[in-house]
Formats: sequence, C-alpha cells, structure tokens
Amino acid sequence: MESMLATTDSKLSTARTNPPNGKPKKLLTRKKRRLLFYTLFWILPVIHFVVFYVIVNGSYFTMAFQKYSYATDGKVGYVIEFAKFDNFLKVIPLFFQAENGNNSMLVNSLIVYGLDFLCGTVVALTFAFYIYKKYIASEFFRIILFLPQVLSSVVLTMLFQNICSHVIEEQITFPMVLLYFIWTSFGVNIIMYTSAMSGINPSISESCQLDGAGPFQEFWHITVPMIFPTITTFIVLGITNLFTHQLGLYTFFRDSAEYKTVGYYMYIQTLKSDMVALQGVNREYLSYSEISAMGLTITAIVLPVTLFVRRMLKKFGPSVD
Amino acid sequence: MKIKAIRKKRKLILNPFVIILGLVLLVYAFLMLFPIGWGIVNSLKHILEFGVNPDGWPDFSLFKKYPLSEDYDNIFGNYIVMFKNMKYKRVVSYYSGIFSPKLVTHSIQYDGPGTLFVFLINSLIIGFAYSVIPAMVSCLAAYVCSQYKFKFSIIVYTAVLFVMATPIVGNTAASINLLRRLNLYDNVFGLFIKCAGFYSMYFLVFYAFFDNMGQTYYEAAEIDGASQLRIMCSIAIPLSKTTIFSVIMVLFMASWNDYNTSLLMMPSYPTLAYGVFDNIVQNTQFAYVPYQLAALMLLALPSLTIFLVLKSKLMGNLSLGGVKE
Repeated sequence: MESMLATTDSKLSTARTNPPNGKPKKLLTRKKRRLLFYTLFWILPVIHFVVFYVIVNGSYFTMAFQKYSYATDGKVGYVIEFAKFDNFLKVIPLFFQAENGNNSMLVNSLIVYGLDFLCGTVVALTFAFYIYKKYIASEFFRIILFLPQVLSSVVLTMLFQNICSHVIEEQITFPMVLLYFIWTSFGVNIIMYTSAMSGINPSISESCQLDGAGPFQEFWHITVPMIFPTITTFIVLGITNLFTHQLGLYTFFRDSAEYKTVGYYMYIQTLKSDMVALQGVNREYLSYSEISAMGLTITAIVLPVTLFVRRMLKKFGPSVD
Repeated sequence: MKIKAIRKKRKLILNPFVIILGLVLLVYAFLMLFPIGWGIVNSLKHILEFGVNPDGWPDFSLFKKYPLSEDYDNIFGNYIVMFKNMKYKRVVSYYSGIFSPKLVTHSIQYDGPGTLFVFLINSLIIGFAYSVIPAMVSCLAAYVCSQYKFKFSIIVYTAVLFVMATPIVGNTAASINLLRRLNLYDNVFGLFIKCAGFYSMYFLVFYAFFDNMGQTYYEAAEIDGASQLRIMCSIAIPLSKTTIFSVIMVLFMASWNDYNTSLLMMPSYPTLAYGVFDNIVQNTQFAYVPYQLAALMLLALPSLTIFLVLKSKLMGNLSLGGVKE
C-alpha cells in the first residue's frame, strides 16, 4: 500500500514538473494548487451559509424579543423596541385556545402526528414490505403509492373536495380532512423503505424462510430490525414536522378554517401579516415578531424531544441478533 | 424443483398477512385512481350536464345542442374556456433596503389566453431555481468536501449534519424580512441566490456517493495535467450525473406542485399550481366545476407524464438512513 502511494505521489510530482503535453512547468505545488482551488471554491457557499442560515436564524431569534411599529414624524420605516417576553406571553396561550367547540391547534397537531406515525411509518412499512417481496401487482402498487407525491396538493385537495360534495355528498369536516391526510400520506417514505429493504442480504431472507417463518415473522423479526436506521430517520423527521404540518387546510378553506393545526396557523399568519401586525376582516393577525416568538417556543419544545427520541431509538431499537 | 418453487410461492401468496395487505392495497389503488378518472371524465362534461349527472359518463352531444359560445361546441370546450379566461391580479407592497428603507409598491395583472403561458414560464423558472441550482451546488460542495481532506471539510460536514438535525420552526418570517431588506424579495435573481445553499439533505446523498468512489479517477486526471477545475467539471460532474438527474427530477416535481413559494416569496411570479388555485378560488368565470376540473387536469398532466416516462429513474436512485450490517 505504502509503495503504491509513493508511486502515485512520484507520478503526481513528475506531472507537476514535466506535464505530458509539454506545457511549461506550473508555478505552484500540487498541495498549494489544491489549497487555492479549495479556498476559492468555499468563499461563496460560506457567505451564503452565513447570510441565509446564521443571519436569518439570528434575526429570527432577536425578532422574537422585539416589537416593530411604523416610524412617525414623516419618517419611513420602522421603530424597533425591546419587547422582553411580551411576544411569548401573547402567543403561548394561543396553542391551547379552543374556538367554537373545536379542538385547540395543539391537540389537532398531536392528532395529525399520531396519524402521520401510523400511516407514514406502520402502514407504509407493511406496504413497502409487500413491494419488496414482489407479491402480486407490486410494481403497480408502487406507482400508485407514489402518486400523491407526483400530483399537486391543489389537484388532490380540489378533487377530494369535489368528490365529497358531488359524489358522496359530505361536508368537509375535521374527520374528512384527516381522511384526506391518510389518502395522501404515502410517497417518498414507501420508496425509501423499499430501497432500504432491497439492501438486505437475500441469504438472510432465504434462511429465514427455510426455518419455516412466514411473511409476517420475516417482516417483524428480520426486515424491521434490519432497516431500523431508515425507520429512525423517518420517525425523527415526523417529530420535526409535528408543528409544521398544514394538513392541506389552506387549500380547503383558505384563511378561514375552523379547525387549525399549529403549522396552518403559522402559515396563515406569515402570509397575511407583516413586521407590524395587520388587520384582517374581523381579526388581527400576529406580527412577524410574534410569529418568530411562536416558532422559537416550538423549537424549544421540538429540539430536545427530537434528540431524546433519537437517543432512545438508538438505545432501545430492535436488535438484528 | 420448479414445481417446488411454484408451491412455495403459492403458499406465500396464500398467507393471510399477504392477502390482507394485497386487499388493502387494492382498495387504496381504487381510491387513488377513481378521483383522477372522475376528474378527467367530468372535465369533459358540458356545464349544464354536470349538475344533473355528476357520476355518469358525459353526453358529448350536448356541446352541439347547447353551444354556449363559439368555443364551447366541442368536447374540449371547458379546456378552451379555462385557457381563455385565466387571470391574475396582485398588489405587492413592502419596505426594502437595509439602512434607509423605501416603500416598494407595484401591481401586477395578467388577463386572457397569455396568462397560462406566464404561469407556465414562472413554473419553469421557479422549478429551475428549486431543482437545478440546489442539486448542482450540493453536488459540487459534496465533491470538494469529500475529495479535499482539509480540516475545514470536517467543519462543513459537521455544519450540514447540525443543520439537518436541528429543527427550526417558524423562521420564514425572518427569511422574508431579510430578502426584503436585501432587495431580493419577489425577484428571480434573489430566488436563485436564496436557492444556492449547499446545506441540504442532498449534500449528504452526494457526499456518500463521492466518498464511496475514492480518489483514483481524480489522481489519474491530475497525472495527465488536468487542473482542479477541469477535474471537477469533466470528471466529478459526469460521474455523478445519474444521481444529479434523480435529485433534480424529485426537486423539480416538488417545486412544480408547490404554490407556497408564489404566495410567500414571489407574489409577482404566480406558478401554474398557484395560478390555477387562485383562479378556482377567485375568478368568477371559474364558478362551474367542469372548468375547475379542466384546469386541475391541465396542472396534473405534465408531472404525471414526466413521472410515467421516468418512473424507474425517479423511484430507484435515492436512499436514506441505510441498513444494519
């Protein structure tokens, strides 16, 4: 190995001094050329990261503690004040607020998470197993299960809404929205699970069948433990989406849904408002500072939960042995 | 031997677990295909027929019997009416600039047959920004990070892992505020810059690809006198073109179907998805369901066609998380 490296290094060094095409000797050594290229390459990506990640999230954090108002005395722009924890005190009760006998948005988000876990993990895994084992019409089902990813949510929501009103003659209520969610909850997860299952050594599956295990035993005792890193990734992603899922409510009801999730509520507020809270018809939207305070509260909850769940899944997840 | 294999297969298929799964999938397939079929059939119905016959086959003769306009005398009448009556109107107003903010206000209005082409071009521009740019930037950054073993590469890799593992919720308002301050809001150039970040999940996909490949190809090119830039452009990018293509297609389809970008970041550039949604909701000439369905089918057609043509490439080249050894 060492002799091979030495040969390569000598060849590279020769290339440096005597290029094969007879061009004049290069001024910089190989290491310096690489370092120069490397440094020049990273200038723009690093600036991008600083501006669009560090500064955006830094201003997100500071905005949560600020209050903006329009400048007076003929000046243009905003006057910024330190708001202490006022924004947090205003938004935290909103999570628990229930209107017109409906659930609070926190409860609705938790219901959506439960369904997401059930469909996106448990049901999706069994469907992926069916496709992986190439049972009858598995290729057809694979295409069908990917369709919610292919079609726009505008198309799916409007079709669902029209079928409800004209074919089954049902109003769009919260349970119907949950049904819509189940209907469209497959897609990338099935593809990722099937890809991961395809990576399992076929001899493990064959020896399992020789030992007399049926498909369910194989699924439960071999497939699930083997692809557990992929399952962990999706469970963790599910937690991070807990408070961002809109449930298609904007497409169904625009900004006047009776049933809200935290993700939908924050989306509407961001869409309708500005740095200074704007007035809507019969309502006042949150200002960007208050939305940031709401987001920061959620991040403070989700971040430790995500890390805890990831650690627990690693520690207590199923063993391949 | 063959008979034994067939018996084994039949035994597996007749397993209750497999039968139940197959039946559930069959029901799901019906529930997925029925609305699409219903949408296509009803997008071809005369508007007078839809109210009385929403779940039957269309009676095409009605178009000849009751031609509501000169365009509405054939089975594609709904599509023609929809095409000719698309509209978009929006007033955009915000403060721009860092040190001395200025109030920027402008209105945008499209009307008539050209509107659909405007939506289409905007979809292509925004699709390009959200697919080709991030895929290429992630690919190049992953190549440099994996092949140049400097300490900074470890910092970059750790930073991407940190970004991926840290769920930050609700920073869209801060992001919009920054874009407005930098004069990049509601601006194609600004969108291109915003999308040129390397710190995404696809950086990790490309990093794994280049890391598995080793350095042999690049060293051979260097021996032949190729510059660092030439190695990146002529070797690294062509070698990863299959993965780049898959990532671009997945991102492009997601962007094609998305209407949030138009609403939040690019209100003057309505995409086809947002334009169709906006017309269904606000345009009084789209009050009839068959017109709405025609617009929805038109929106679904391109992504469905791309998917059916490239399904094996789209569904076969991506993986995440790995398998236990």
